Amino acid sequence: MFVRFVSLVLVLLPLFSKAQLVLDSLRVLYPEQFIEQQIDEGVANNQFDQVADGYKALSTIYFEQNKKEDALKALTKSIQYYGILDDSLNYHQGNLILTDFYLNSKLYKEALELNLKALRFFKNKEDRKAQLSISKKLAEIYRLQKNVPKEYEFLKNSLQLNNSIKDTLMEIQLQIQKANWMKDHQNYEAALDAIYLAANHSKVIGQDSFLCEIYFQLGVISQLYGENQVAKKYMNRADSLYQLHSNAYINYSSYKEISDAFMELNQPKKAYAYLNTYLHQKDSLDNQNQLDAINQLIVQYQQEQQKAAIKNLQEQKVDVQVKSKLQSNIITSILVGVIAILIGLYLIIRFYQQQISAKETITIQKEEINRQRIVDLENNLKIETMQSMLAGQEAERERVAKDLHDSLGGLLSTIKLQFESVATKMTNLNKVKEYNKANIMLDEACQEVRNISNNMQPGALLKLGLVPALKDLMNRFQGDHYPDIDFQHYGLEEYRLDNTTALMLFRIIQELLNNSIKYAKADEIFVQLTRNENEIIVTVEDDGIGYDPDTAKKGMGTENINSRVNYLKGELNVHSIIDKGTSTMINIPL
Amino acid sequence: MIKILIADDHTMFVDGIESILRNETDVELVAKCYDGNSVFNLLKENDIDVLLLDVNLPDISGIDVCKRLRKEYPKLRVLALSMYNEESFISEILKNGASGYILKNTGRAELMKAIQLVHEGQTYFSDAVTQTIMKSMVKGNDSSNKKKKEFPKISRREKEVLQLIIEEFTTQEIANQLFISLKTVESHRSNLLAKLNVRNTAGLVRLTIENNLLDTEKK
Repeated sequence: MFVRFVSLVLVLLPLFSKAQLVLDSLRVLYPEQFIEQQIDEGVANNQFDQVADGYKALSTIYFEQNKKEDALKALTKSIQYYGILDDSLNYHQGNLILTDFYLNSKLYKEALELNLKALRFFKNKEDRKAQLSISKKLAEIYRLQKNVPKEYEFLKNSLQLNNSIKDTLMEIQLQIQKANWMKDHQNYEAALDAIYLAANHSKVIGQDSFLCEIYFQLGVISQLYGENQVAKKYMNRADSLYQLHSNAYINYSSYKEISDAFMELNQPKKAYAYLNTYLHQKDSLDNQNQLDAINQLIVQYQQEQQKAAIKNLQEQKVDVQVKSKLQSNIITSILVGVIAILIGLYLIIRFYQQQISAKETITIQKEEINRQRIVDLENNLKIETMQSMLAGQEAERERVAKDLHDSLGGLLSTIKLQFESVATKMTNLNKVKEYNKANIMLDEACQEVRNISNNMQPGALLKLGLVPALKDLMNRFQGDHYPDIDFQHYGLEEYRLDNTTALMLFRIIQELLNNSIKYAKADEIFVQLTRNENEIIVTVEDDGIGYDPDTAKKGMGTENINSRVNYLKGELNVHSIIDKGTSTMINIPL
Repeated sequence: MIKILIADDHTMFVDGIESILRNETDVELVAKCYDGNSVFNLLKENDIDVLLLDVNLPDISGIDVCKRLRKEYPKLRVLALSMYNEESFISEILKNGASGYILKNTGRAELMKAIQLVHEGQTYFSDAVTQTIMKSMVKGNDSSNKKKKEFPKISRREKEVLQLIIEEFTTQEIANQLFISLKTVESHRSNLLAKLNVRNTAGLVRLTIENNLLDTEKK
């Protein structure tokens, strides 16, 4: 409750006029001391506007620091001075802030008085927005006072005012308030109308923060109205919204209604949960009430002080008017002094501003570093996801290859043996055409299984290593219609790469060879693997038609190569010239 | 009578072989096992002439089994049985002492012929295997290549880099000229050092000039 209250204050305070620039900029550094000094100066020089603004600023700072009492003290002081200055706008705005203190301390009568006074003032000024917020406040106060007709009057008044202002957010709040009022007076139809209006407005402006409460109200009112089916729908929708947004704002008294409604709708578990929340909130509210009782005493004390002070100050004001002529000479000399002080202040401000900007630079740099870290983390995550995807793919290929090779391959070989042993028993079978044909087909099937399994994952790769597997691969590109492949490797004779690296490199080179043969129509391909202390360098060069890397990037093959290079945290460099050939170099750290 | 031991993890296949050999008069299947380690135990207990050995065993690979057997049982003949028809496997197991290599879809007649030839001290390969070996010999890539020529082939890109190194361009200048990154230039340089077996750029330049590597390649 207090947080809401402070935020309201913070919104209203900038409306105060004559905010001093210097004051504002110094507020950042040593706010309280500086402002107090300003106030003292103002009092000494009878510069009451300076004093009033000073107190106003001081109260804001204390609000920010959560020093409630000090804030209140400063606020009342500023109101006094604005009163003396006949600055009605600031005077009433200050009073409106004070109202919240009074409400907090349950001083409804005083709050009403101030609000009504302010309302008259803003009516004369024809400030509709201010009138609206005061009317709304008044309706709330009358509600607390249980003055039903007055509450409805101001609620209606607020709605009317908002008809011309058309503040949708305000409209939503007012309709909720109206629905509550109607509900309290058993006019469920009107209550439903109001709450539907609020719901529609919320949806139109996409304002979700109220939806939870609105749905609850819709549910509660529908239930009271006897529309249990509708009630159930909205209650559950609200409930899931509430569970989703743990900070959804719900009026504390609503929890009881929600609990009751759930009970009526035969959902005792939920009813119990909301009753619990209600009791919990009630507890903390009771604690708050005790604190408020103390506050009440403080506020009353302040009020009396204020009255006394006003008398004092009014006398002072008369004095000042007499003295002011005498003071004009002194003022000139003071002016010179003030200018000197201002110059000094200017220098101090500049000094601090420089410090602030230095701090800001550091902050910006820190933020940049943090941002970079986040980007790095995201990239790592991407790489990890890709890695597990590729690893999964390879594991699956390995499994299928092994299954094909061991099970199906073995089975086919056995069938072949059994099939032939039939021939030994039936001597003339060798002469039957169909038998021989089937025998040949069996051989083909064996060959096919071998090929598929080998394409899935070459057996030589894991058993004998990358170089033998690559040699096997290149042996398959053998014949007149295939390009010449020159394969060189250095530093890998005695060195076994880990399986993953070997597998990935195999796939990369396989893909590059495919590209050179299929797309580049190369006559010669050069493949080279070099291992030194810290990396493996893969070079694949062809004399094919070349390509434009920008357009080719979309091809699946290139994509596969890229992700595998990334998997190995390596670096890929492609250099291609149209009609001259492509040269690919990949550096993989070890 | 040729005494035979078979080692293959595929039980059904072993059964198939067993049923074939049972009908033959001049061979005898003395024992069978399904992994590499059992081979050594069974050889201790039995007198075996020919071992039918699967290349792909679950515990130790057929290639490693072969390697050990060559030392411990020099008289034993090994006939490799495999699903793989790849040059790498064939040459590996032959290097390690196998006398023959047949694919698993080999028929009865061929199996018997292979056992007999291997037993007599000759070699035997399935036709498809022979083809594979021939192919890789024609291709003649890799090591055989090195022996033929004094220096390995230098690629087009490597030549461009080498030319600029000899013309005393800096790494940055080479990178700019060839539109590649500094790292790529460095990698080419390091590749050249490795394949020409020199220790530094000075050695690289000297070797290139002394052997006229760039000019001959250009012609």
